[in-house]
Amino acid sequence: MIRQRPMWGCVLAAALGCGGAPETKEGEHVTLQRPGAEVRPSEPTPTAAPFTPLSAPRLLRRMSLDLRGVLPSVEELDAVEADPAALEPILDSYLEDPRLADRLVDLLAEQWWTRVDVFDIVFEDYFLDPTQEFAFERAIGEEPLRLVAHVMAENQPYTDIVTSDTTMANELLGALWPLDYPEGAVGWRRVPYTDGRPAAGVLSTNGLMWRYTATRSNMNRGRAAALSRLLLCEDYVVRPVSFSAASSDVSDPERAIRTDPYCVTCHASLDPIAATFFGFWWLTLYSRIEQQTYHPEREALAEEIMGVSPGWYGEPVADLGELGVAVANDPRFYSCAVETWARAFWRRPLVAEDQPEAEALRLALVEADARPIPLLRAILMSAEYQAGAVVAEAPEVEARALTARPLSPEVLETSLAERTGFRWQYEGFEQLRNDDHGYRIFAGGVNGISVVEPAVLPSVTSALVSVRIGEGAGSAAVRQALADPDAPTLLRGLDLELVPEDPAFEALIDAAAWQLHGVRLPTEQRDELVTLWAAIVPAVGPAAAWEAVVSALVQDPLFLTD
Amino acid sequence: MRSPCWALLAVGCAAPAVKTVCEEGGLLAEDGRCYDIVDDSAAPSPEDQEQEDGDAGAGQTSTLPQLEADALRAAWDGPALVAALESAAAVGLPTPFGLTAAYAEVMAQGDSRCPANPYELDGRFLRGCTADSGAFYSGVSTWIPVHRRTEVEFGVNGDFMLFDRDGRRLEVGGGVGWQAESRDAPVIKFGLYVTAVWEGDPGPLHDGLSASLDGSLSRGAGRQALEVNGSVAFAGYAFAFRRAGFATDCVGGSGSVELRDPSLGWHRLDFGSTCTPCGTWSFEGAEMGELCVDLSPMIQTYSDAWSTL
Repeated sequence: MIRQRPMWGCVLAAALGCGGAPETKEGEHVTLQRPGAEVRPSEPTPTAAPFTPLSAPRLLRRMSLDLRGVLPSVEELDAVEADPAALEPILDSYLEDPRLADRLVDLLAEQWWTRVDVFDIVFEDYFLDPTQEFAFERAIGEEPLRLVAHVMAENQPYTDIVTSDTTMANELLGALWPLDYPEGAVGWRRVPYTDGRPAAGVLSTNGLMWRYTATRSNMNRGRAAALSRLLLCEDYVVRPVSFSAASSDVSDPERAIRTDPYCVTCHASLDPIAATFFGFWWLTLYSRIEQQTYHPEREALAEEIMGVSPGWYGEPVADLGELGVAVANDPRFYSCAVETWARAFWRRPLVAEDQPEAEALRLALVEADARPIPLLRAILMSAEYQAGAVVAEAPEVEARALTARPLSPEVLETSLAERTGFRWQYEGFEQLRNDDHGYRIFAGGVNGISVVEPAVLPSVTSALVSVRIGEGAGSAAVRQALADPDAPTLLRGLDLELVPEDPAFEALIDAAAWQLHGVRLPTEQRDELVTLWAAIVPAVGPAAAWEAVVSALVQDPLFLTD
Repeated sequence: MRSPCWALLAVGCAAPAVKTVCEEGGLLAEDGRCYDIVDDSAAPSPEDQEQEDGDAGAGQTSTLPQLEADALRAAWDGPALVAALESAAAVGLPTPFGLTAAYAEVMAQGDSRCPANPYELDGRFLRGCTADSGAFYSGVSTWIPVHRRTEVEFGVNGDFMLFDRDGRRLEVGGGVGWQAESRDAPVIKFGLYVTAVWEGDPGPLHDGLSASLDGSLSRGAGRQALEVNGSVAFAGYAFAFRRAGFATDCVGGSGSVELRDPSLGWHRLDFGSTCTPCGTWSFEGAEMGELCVDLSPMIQTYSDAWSTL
């Protein structure tokens, strides 16, 4: 698996003048300045944005989909169309929307890769019904994501994600794991574990440990590397280590790790972090009783087995709880928060040219005492996020903003469900949220194992998915509108007796397009939809014709992107 | 030219691909420069790095919120620690015998259809079967006596969950075993690498056992001695032992014994290499004085089990 290295990895090194700055070319590793340092003359300086912003309705639509997972209401679209200044108050209301946490979960899953379709422990190990498989897998994978999302949505200090003494669990996890989940309760809520594990936020969650497992011989080093990637945006895997040049006898890797300079390069810092995870060091894999419970007695084995004491870059830590505090106090933790969330909303890794903007965002977080809503707001108010089109004369390297961004499979699901009632499900599985039976990666999503970057371009498979969701949404929208003509649905007021000559006919099409696209439907395109409708009616009747109209609108790139 | 570049290692920066070792002792990179290899576990902390980074960044980064780790303060003072140790010792160190006996007991409730094999769960019923007795079997297991190499060798390994005919759960992940050359052998060796629960146990197995522990029990001339290494959690206590020894003729112990405090810190008692009644007590590395405690009852569960062979 080769990925482009996140560009913030070398900020400290750059500030220290270490190693020199490599050539900076698009797509290659570049060195950024340390956050907080002044912008030096040799660094790229901010330039005029090489793109023009989205229209206010389209920007509102992007914000609504990103923060709530649903399309804006007609009233909201009308308001910002009439007065773009209305957008900011609406944005503020979105940042307080109860659906925000769900969206942050979806966005973080793209980078933390915990929402996988299989763990070492499977639903059968708990004798669950097969219809609970999807819920089981998602509950586990979402546990750490939901803790982060809850902290953010509640605007609690971001440091809580590594220091909290509670996790997030739903009734399923509450029934399976040693959690103090209230009996009879349902839904996600903050609850503590009851097995004596230290308070370290996501670092002491089963969900993270189950995704990033460790064998006996790996001794949690993979987990330490995962911590570094997720929370510092420092990826050990991409360090320039030449294994072939190492002189060590590979038959004794533990010795090599301690003595061979090629190994020490990483293991000197990695192993003390790994030593803090020994309460999660499993003697056997695939055993639920072994993996679901923290093993406090094994904390004491780390030094004896690994030969190193728990530590954080030279500073000793007593346990996982102190590790969480050390992470929270590391300046890279804040830079990484910015990198993570800017990447989530900008839909691309940060590059060297983003440094001034990223530093401004970091300050937004710091100045808010690490409370993250101001950071989110600043990201959404950035020119980068609001980019709608590249100016013609923009140099290619600067035209990096994604001006038309494919909707993620999760947003396709939630937005269509809300507006049309369409849910694509199969035996308990959400079909746009899994790949066992569904089409998540077909639709451009991330499965956390083999696909770790969301698609930024359409593909054959995403086109196939769009056909299916168009059909499903069309059918559901018509059914929904006919069942309750006055409900605020996509085809509100649908009457199968309507004909193209009726003013209400065109108004219905226009309103549907406005809701789905955030763009007023051009006459030419409306005429094409009327023609489509008229061609279908004689064969299968007006209901199917309306389904086709909705299907066409859903398959339009204006719906499939934001 | 050598670059004193510990930060290269500390932050994983974009050094050119390292090719070989240079004469000065560092690593020669493709750019021709020689980079020192420095153990970055001793590198300055991120806070130090900020400090050393000069004025440019220090002003802004000094505004970073700083959290203080709660200093670990032992919940147990000396008498409370002694009470906890003696309470755990009175329960007795978990043995492999309890689990092997429980396993044999529940397996005996099976039949020719389920689990079909009287000794082992051979993979036919990963998702479970119910015998005529009402006992339930799922998972895989290996029953060591079937594969015995010495006269006395017992144990069970696997990943399984059983329910006896009364609905009591026996769940095991890992394995336990014990071995002696003969029934009269002076030494029996044992190991527990397991997480397990046996709801039919009147003792600590009922609430669960987690162990990564091995050791030996020796007997002779009216004396029995136990030596253990590793860690174990039972009855609400989490222990770690390093060459810890307990004997029927010794009040106290030898080696070191660690016990996790309710504050999540660790107490440690160092008795020295020979059995003494008192040891040096420390908490999270800080010396606390001398502590005297009788841990000889720790051996009792092993003595009892051996006597039943």
